Amino acid sequence: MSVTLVSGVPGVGASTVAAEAVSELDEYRLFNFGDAMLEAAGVRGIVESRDELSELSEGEQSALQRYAAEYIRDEASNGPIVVTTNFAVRTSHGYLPGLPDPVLHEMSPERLVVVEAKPETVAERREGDEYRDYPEPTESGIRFHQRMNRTAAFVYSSRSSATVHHVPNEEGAEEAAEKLTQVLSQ
Amino acid sequence: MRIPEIRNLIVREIEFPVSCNEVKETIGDVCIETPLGSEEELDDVLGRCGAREFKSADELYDAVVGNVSGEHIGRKKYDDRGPSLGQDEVSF
Repeated sequence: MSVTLVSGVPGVGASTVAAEAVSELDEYRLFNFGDAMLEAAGVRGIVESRDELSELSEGEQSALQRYAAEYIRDEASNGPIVVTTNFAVRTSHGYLPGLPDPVLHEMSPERLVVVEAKPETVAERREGDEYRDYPEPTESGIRFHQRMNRTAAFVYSSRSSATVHHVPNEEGAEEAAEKLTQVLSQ
Repeated sequence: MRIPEIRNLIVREIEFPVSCNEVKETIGDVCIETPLGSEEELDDVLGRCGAREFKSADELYDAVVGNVSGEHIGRKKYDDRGPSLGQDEVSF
C-alpha cells in the first residue's frame, strides 16, 4: 500500500500539479480527499456542494474525514495512489488539522508533499480563477496558511514516519509536476 | 466506478477545454455507482448538465457530482453508524 498526500493552499495549483504528474505515471491513480468526503456527505444528505463542507461543525467534518480515510485506504490496497488534500483546513470556526490522528493512521501515508508558491503568486492565481471563489484574498492570510501547512506536514511526518517533500510551483505546473514525478519515482 | 474515481478517469482521458459532447463520446459509457449500489451512465448524468464546454477537470467533476440522479443522494441526515451526523441524540 502506497499513499502519497499532496497539499497546498487553495489557488496554488496543487491539484493541477498532481494531475499532470499522475498522467505521466501509469501505475498511480489520483484521488481527492474532499471528493471522498463529498460523496459520503451526499449519500447521507448532509451537504449538496463542496463549498458547504467547510461550513460543517467540527464533529461532522471529523466523521466525514473518517469515512474518506477508510475509502482511500481501500483504494490504496489496489495500487499506489496520489491523494490531494488539505494538511491545514481553514473553516469558518478556525484552522483545523486536515489529518487528525485516526485519519492519518487509517491512510498510513508514505510521502507528504507540500506544494507552495509566493503568496503574491497565489493571490494572482486566485484573482485569475474565474471558476472558484476563494475566501481569503490577502497575502498575509495565504502566507499564514502556507506556514500552517508546513507545520502540519512535519507533525504528520513525526506521527506516521512519512517523508516530507517540497514542490515549488512558482514557474508553472509543468515544471512542478516534473519535480513531483521525481518524488513519486523514488 | 465510484464517484471519487471519476477524477482519475478525467485526468487520464480528457484534455481541456473540452465540449460536453466530446466528454460523452470519450467516457459517456462509464457507469458510476454509489456505496449504496445504484448506478447510472455518465452519458445520462451529463445529459442533465446545461454546460456546453468545460475548461478544467474541477469544472467537469463538479458537473458530474452536481447532476447525479436523486438515487445517489441518501436519506437526509442519515448515518449508518449510529446517531445522525451533526444532530444531538434525543431520547424519548
